[in-house]
Amino acid sequence: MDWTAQQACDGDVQRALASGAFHQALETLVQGYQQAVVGFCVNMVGDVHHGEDIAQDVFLAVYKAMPRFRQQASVRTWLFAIARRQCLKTMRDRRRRHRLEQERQDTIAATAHRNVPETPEDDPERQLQLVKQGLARLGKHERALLLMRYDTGLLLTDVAHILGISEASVRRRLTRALQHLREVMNDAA
Amino acid sequence: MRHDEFEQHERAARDVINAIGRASDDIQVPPHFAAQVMAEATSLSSPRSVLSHWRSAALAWMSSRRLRVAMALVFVLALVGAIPQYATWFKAFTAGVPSTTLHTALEQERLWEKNFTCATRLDQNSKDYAAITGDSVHVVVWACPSGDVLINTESPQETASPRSVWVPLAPSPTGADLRLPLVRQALATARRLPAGWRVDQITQVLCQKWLRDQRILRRVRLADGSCRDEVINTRTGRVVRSRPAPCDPQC
Repeated sequence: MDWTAQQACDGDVQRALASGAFHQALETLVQGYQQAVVGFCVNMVGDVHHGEDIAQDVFLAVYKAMPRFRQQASVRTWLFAIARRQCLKTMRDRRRRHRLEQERQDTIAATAHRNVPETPEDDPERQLQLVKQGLARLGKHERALLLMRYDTGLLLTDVAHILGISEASVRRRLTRALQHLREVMNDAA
Repeated sequence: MRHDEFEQHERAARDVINAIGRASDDIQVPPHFAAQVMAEATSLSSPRSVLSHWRSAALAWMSSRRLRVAMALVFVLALVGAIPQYATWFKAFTAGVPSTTLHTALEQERLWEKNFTCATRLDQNSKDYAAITGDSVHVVVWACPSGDVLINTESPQETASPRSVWVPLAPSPTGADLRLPLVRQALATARRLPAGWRVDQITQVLCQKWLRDQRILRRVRLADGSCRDEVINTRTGRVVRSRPAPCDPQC
């Protein structure tokens, strides 16, 4: 969904929320953001089925929290704040996380071997696979940060709002996370 | 970190960032995902729950400045109104007694101070001395010139710890009713000496002195002629310590 479409979607959701039409607000939100939220959750937990489950929980959590939405942040920021929290909550179950991480790494490794042809380093497909492998090996907080900023396209101010820190701290953390990712990718390559 | 530095880092990692941006591209949303979410949401109760309804109503109510002031006033009044209770709790804590018996404890302490000299003169040969020897309790009563009465009770089976409590001439309402029957009984038998006299009954106080924490040490002579030191908590009247001692009138 492009920027204009997102703005239109956010506007519709805000209007529905203001009038108390929560069901309608949810419908608009799901239509507008399902791809982004499912993608975020799948990339966070590294498993398609669990990611979809969590994405569904995210929308239901958003639905329940609708009466408390104060419009201090954008709908998008609010949605991804809940998505991040939901993913981290799920991953906090260490045993499950361990299993998921194992499955995730196995899957990615298998996919990488199956799909990646022997091509030059600057091949975009290979780069994508290396990035996915790298993301899987990063810590969950760094992974969430990178995905929020570069996959879902949240602004630095939005990320700062979600994490409750300053923009300068977000920049610092992003730089560090990118460096970690680069190191992990180099190891994998 | 400055913005330009960060942009520089981002430019250097452009290839990685682009790849992260495509990380979700191959993830397909299941065909019925939206329908499933909406069905699940429909099965839930409305998000405006009773609790949140009350919460928003309370918030709306509190948004009025006058009502906020009124609430603050009520809150302050409640706090100020409870100050005597806080003071009682504090005094009871420092006195080491339950707050419900604080008044009685302070009254007992006052009576010990008032009748200290008189209590030192306790003697079975005095007309102010009386004793009752019952099956379940032994009582020694000592009447002071002030009109206050010292009652020493002891359980022969040691089912309860010995106590020495004062009954004032003009009793305070708190706790006095409980003690009055005991006093009446004791005074009624004041001249009826001693049918079942026990050897450990107090016959005389040899000396007495104040200890710390409002406690009193008194040396008493018993019916068998032996002596013992007793430490009494003046607030509760309980004999907290008791041990044999020489019959020396100097404590």
